Amino acid sequence: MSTLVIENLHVWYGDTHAVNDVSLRVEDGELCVFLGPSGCGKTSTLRSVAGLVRPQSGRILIDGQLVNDLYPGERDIAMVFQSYALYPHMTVREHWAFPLKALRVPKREMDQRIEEMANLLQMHDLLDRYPRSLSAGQAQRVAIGRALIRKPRLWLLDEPLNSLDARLQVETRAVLKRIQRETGITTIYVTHNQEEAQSLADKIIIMNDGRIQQVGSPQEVYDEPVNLFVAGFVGTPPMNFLRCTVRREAERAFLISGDLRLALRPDLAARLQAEDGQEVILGVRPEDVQVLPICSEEPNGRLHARVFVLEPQGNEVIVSLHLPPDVLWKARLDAKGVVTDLVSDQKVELDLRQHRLHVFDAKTEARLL
Amino acid sequence: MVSHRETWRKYLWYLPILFITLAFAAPFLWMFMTSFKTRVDTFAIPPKFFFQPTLANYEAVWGSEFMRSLENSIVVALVSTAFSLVLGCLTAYGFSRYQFKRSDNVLFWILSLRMLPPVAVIVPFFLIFSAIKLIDTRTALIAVYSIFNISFAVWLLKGFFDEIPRELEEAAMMDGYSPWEVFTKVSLPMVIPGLATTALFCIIQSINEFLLAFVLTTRSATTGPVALAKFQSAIGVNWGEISAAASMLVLPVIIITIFLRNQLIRGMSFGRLR
Repeated sequence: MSTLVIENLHVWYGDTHAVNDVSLRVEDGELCVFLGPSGCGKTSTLRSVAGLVRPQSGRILIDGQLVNDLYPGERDIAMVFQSYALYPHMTVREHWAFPLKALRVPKREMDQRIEEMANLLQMHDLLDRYPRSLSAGQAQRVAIGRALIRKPRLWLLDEPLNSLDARLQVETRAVLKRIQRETGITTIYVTHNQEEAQSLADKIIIMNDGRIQQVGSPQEVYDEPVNLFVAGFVGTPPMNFLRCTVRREAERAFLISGDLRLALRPDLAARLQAEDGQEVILGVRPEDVQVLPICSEEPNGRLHARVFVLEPQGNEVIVSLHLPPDVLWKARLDAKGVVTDLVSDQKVELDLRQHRLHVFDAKTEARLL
Repeated sequence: MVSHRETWRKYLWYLPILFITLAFAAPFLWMFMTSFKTRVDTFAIPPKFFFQPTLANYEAVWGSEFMRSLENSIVVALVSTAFSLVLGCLTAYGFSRYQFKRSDNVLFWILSLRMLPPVAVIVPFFLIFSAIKLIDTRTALIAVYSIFNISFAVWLLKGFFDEIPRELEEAAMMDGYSPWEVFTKVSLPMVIPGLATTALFCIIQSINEFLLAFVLTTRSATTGPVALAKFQSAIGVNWGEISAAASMLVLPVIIITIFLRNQLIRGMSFGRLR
C-alpha cells in the first residue's frame, strides 16, 4: 500500500522539454489517470517513475522513500507496456514466474501465486502457451498477470488498451478497474483516450506541453475545466467554442458575436472576470445546446445556425450545426425529443443553458466563468 | 479442375528450384563420387555414374598426415568461432543498446577489419608471429581468424539485437533483473537464431581459409585446405585421395548445418517477434 509523490520533475530529451515542472501526489490505493494528447509528457512522467527515464531534476518519492537513484528493478514497481512486451521464448507460466524468480520466491509459493493469477484472469488453459499463439486480449492478460503477480507497490499502465479492438477495449477496461479495486494497488494509468480516463479514474491529471493543466475527479474536469485546453480535450463530442466580445452595461453583461447578443444572468455577470470590450471564447457542451426549429428574421439575441447533418446514435441524436461564417458546432439531443424532424440546411435558433456556460480568455485561455 | 491446375503450377516451380539446387550441388556430388572411385573410373570418358565403389582412397587418407591437418582445422574453427561469438555478441549488444560518441565511426572501423584483403596483412602478421614465436601454432591461426570473424559477428549480431524491441528489456528491468541478467535471460535467448547463423558463417570462413594458414603454418599446425594443396605432388595429382580428404573436410560443416537447420531458417525470417 503506497503513495507516490512527485516534486518539480523536469525531463529533457536534447532540446525538447518533455516534462516541465510536474508535481503531483497519488494517494494509497488510488487509480490515477494521466490524460493528454501524444507528446504531452504523460508517458515520460510515467517512465521517470518507473526508472526507465532519468529526469534532469525533481524528486520522486514512493512511500516517502526517494527513488530517483534506484534501478527500475529495485523500485518494486510493475508496468504494463503498450505493446505488452511479452518474451517470445517464454510460456505464460514462465512469464508469471519470471518476476517471482527475481525475488527468489520459493517454488511452492510461486506455483500457488501462478494458480491464483490464473484464477483471477481465467487463463488456466493457456498457461503453457507461447505468446505467438495468444490473441491480443489474452496477451494483454498475460502482461497484466506478470505485473501484478509479485504484488508491487505501484502499478503503471502505459496505454494498455491501444492494441485491442474497440469492443475488447470497453470490456478490458471494466476488468482492469475491477482488478485494481480488488487488489487495492496504487495505480497510474496513461492514456490519450478521455473516455477511458473518465470511466476508470479516481483522479485525472490532464497534461499538455509537458505541464499539468488540471488535477481533479472525472466530474470536476468535465464540469469545471480550468482552461480552454482541458475544456476542449475532455468530452465527446468536444465542447463547442465561439469567439465573442464582452459588453458591459451597468450591472449587466453581454456576449456579442454576429447575431448573438447573449445577456448573462445577473449572478453569472457578476462572476464573469472580464472587462468591457475584452475578447473571450464562449464554450458550450453539446448537451447544453437546445435547438429550436424556428427562425425569426429579426435579431433576438439568440444564436442562428443552419443544420449541417444529423447523426442518430440510437438513444440520442448528434446534430452538427453550421454557424456563420465558418464555425461548426455539435448539439446532443434526446432522440425522443421534438426535434427529430430536423432536416439538413434547415435554419434554426440555438438556446444555451446559461448556468452551464464556460467563458475563457482569448489570450491566456484561462477560464473566466 | 481449378485445384488440379494450381497443384500443377505449384510443382512447375520446383523445376527452377531443382535446377539451381543441382547446379550448386554438382561439384559436391562429383567430389563425393570421385572419392569412391578407382583411378581408372575417375578418368573414364564418358564419366561413370554407376561404378563399383571403393574405400581405398579413404583408407589411404585415414593413415596419412592429413588427419592431423583435419584436426587442426576443426579445433581452430571451433575455438575461433567460440571466441568470435562471445566477444561479438557482447560488442554487438553494446553497440545496439548504448549510444556513445562516434559509435557509428567505431562500428565502421570494426567492419573495415573484415573488408581488409588478407594479402595486405600477411607480411606484418608473419613478422609479428615470428617475433613472438607463434609461427606454425594453432594459437596464431585462432587469433588471426578471430580478428576477421569478430568483426563479422559484431555486424551480423547487431542487426539481430536491433530487432529486439526495447520494451522487452525494459519489462525485464521492471521485473527486477539487473542489466546483465536482462542480457542473459531475455536478449540473448532471443538472438539464438542469429548466433546460429553467425556461428555457421564463422566456421565456414575458418575451415575454408587458405592463404593465411599457408603462410603462418609449416608442418604441425597445417590446416585442411593447405594439406589438400600438398596432395599435388611431383608425380601427379591423386584425385581420388584429394576428393576423399576434401569430403572429410566438408563433413563437419555439413553436420553442423544440419544441427543448426531450424535456427537458421528462423534466423532468415527474423523480425516477427510479436
